[in-house]
Amino acid sequence: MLFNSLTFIVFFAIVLFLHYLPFSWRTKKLNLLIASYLFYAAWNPPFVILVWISTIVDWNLAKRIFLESNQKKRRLLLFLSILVNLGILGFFKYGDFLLHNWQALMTSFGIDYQVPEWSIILPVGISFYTFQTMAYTLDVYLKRAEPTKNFLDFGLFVTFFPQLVAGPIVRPTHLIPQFESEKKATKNMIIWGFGLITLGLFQKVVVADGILAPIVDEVYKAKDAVSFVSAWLGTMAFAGQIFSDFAGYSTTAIGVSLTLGFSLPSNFNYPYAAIGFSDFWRRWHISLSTWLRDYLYIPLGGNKNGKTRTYINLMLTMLLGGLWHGASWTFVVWGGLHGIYLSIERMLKRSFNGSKLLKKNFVRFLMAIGTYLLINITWVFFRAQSFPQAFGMIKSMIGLNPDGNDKLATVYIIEAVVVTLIMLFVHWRMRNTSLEAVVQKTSWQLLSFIWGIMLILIIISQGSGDAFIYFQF
Amino acid sequence: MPSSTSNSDIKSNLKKDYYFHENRPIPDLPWKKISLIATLIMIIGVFAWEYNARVIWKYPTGHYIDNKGLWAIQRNRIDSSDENTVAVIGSSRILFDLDLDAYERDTGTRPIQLALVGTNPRPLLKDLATDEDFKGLLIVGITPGSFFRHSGGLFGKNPEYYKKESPTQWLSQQISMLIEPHLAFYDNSNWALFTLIERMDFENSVANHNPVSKIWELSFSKKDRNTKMFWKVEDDPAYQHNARMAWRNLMLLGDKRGPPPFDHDTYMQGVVADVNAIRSRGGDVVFIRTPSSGDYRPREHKNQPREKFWDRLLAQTNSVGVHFEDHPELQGFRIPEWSHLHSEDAPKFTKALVPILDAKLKAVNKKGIINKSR
Repeated sequence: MLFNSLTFIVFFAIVLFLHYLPFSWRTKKLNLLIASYLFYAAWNPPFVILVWISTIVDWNLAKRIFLESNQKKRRLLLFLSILVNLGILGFFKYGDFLLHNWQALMTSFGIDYQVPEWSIILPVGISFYTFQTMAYTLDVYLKRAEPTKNFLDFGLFVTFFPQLVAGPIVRPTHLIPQFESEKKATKNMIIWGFGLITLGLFQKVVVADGILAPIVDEVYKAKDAVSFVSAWLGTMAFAGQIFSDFAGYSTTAIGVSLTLGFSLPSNFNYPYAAIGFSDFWRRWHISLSTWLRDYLYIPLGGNKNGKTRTYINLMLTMLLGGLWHGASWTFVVWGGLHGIYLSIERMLKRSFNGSKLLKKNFVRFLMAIGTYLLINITWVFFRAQSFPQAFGMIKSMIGLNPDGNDKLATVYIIEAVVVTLIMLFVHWRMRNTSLEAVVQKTSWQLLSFIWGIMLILIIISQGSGDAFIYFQF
Repeated sequence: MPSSTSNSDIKSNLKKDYYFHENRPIPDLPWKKISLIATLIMIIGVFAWEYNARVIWKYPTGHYIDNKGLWAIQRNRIDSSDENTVAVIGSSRILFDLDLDAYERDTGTRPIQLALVGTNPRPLLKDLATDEDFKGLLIVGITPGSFFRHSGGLFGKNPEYYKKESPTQWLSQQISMLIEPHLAFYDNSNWALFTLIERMDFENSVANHNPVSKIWELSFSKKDRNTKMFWKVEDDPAYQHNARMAWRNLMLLGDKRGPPPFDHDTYMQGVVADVNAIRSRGGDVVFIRTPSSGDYRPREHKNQPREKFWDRLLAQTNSVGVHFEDHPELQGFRIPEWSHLHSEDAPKFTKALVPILDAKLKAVNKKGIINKSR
């Protein structure tokens, strides 16, 4: 079920209505759990079974890990949990990819191996809820948390509908305690929640789908070489589209949760104002980057085992982070590029640590622009359908396709430039503050006007209900 | 991925990261007042936009958005169809030109309209050939450039959508249909704000990629997809010119790319097999070539000469076909943008078509269409 669909409006109205009826807290949670299953089943009913499998397996295994004192047995139980979760994820998301790569490998050895016909539908949001349930078992294994005693709370943690299919990936220690005692949103919380829903839908419906998506499609559907200007504007439009699409989803999810009385973590913090790449990953898809940090990078050894090992850990984490996004080598390259950026930055930091030049505002601004431009290079691999297309686009972006064709009409050029500049300006201004702090300082008259205008724009630029890009991950 | 975190920092990081809000801060403002005024502004804005759509731009109401969901509802009717069912497939020409009211008036049967704009009916023919539920008469509208190609076109995957339509897609369609006939601005593919902005006439260096040259709204559909040409295409010279130029632009683009590879023999084998599959269940298939004019007609003569394509289609499938060029009664209608009939002429065309098709079917000892039992 999409947030920007009419079905969701009806669904959400019913959920809110039930949530504020004078039922017991347990009944309310049960309503939310059923609603969450319906939310998922509305897309493809049989795949709810996968969510149930993850729920039951991790509930039982985490409990046994907690009770088990023998380290070997604990490790075995953890392995079983990871096997089930990654097994499901691997089968549905990477099965086809692995088979085709196996075929290519066999062919390179002269063995004619034919991949069987395999038509697998990717369950929506599988990577998100798999990582969320794995965090629960891993926390218990790493003794960071105790397992919950309430199955209903755990079931709701795995399937809580606002963030089930596209995050934020919530930690058990953050969400489960919120289910333990009755949560009632105040009037202000509910209204602020609706404000965030409006902002999220504005980002998705107006900015991502209404303005930027047609521009990106125009450039990335080209079969021939595109010009320097088209390549850059198309890619910068994609940078804006994917941010508005994904941050829009997260903001809506946070708003929906607030209206129900729950607090979800922030997933984005104005990433295009990042100065450097570690700063970028503190601001982009924060719930994934911190997950990778806490459950992959640090267990691999983090930065504790010497320089070389640190770089290896960093690259491995980013390569797997890339693969998490999709079963394609282009995503791996996307992750790899980020890994290289982070490694180089780490090396440079050692050399320039303490340099006064780096503290000057103008230099920091230039570094932010440089970061943004280099991030755009990585987005090419994220958006392109194939390596030839990606390399063609990169060639255009570095001026090696002088005969490339202009693909963007004047109106698209104006839209791409205006939206990109506004986005960069907003991110830069918001770099060291938060939405809440800025809203607090804004006059209520202006806020009413902005909110009203955003609502109008959402309604009159309603798109065709396109799915959020991150659903496919 | 922040690279500076050491293992021992984990607990302190969990606390200080922006990520972990224990409780989200809520700005302390008069939220009730703010939300009321915002809602008021929204209501005024939407009313103004609707007024603009109805009164200034004169978009009609009482229509439905012709999307996959609406098509799927009609496709679903095939599953409970019988030998008296008449289904129509094809591209936009048969969709616009065959008036369901006129057809029903003269034959007693209201066809199921499954034709799709910009779409080759070939995947739909295959879909119905493999559907054991379909045993009726299938009218296939032939637009030569659309039918004689391997590509399925814009909505060639609609049968797939129908089979996989999710509960949420179905429900959204049902809810949307409650709103669609009452709001003139609601047609998201045509009147969405940024679609309108794209149509602003800027100077352009990229003629082929100019969104102004995209196809604007050409038609409006009723709940059962009975489709009529939009009045602006008929009566507004600038709008009509734009529609023609959109077609011309597409033709130029096609010329630039050159004809796509087309294996006529293999293609016809598939068509014959599908037609025979429908006939083996007691159904039948007929072909209709609807009128065209302007830039289209000479191009169709040149690219798909009748004897090599139309005549061969009828001969190989052993089918009844009606070509508008063979019947003076099917000529002389208004074709405002060279491809589809004027909304007032579509019923007249259908009225003229029915007896011709009926007579042709009866001439080869088949069941005619003017038959109340059909």
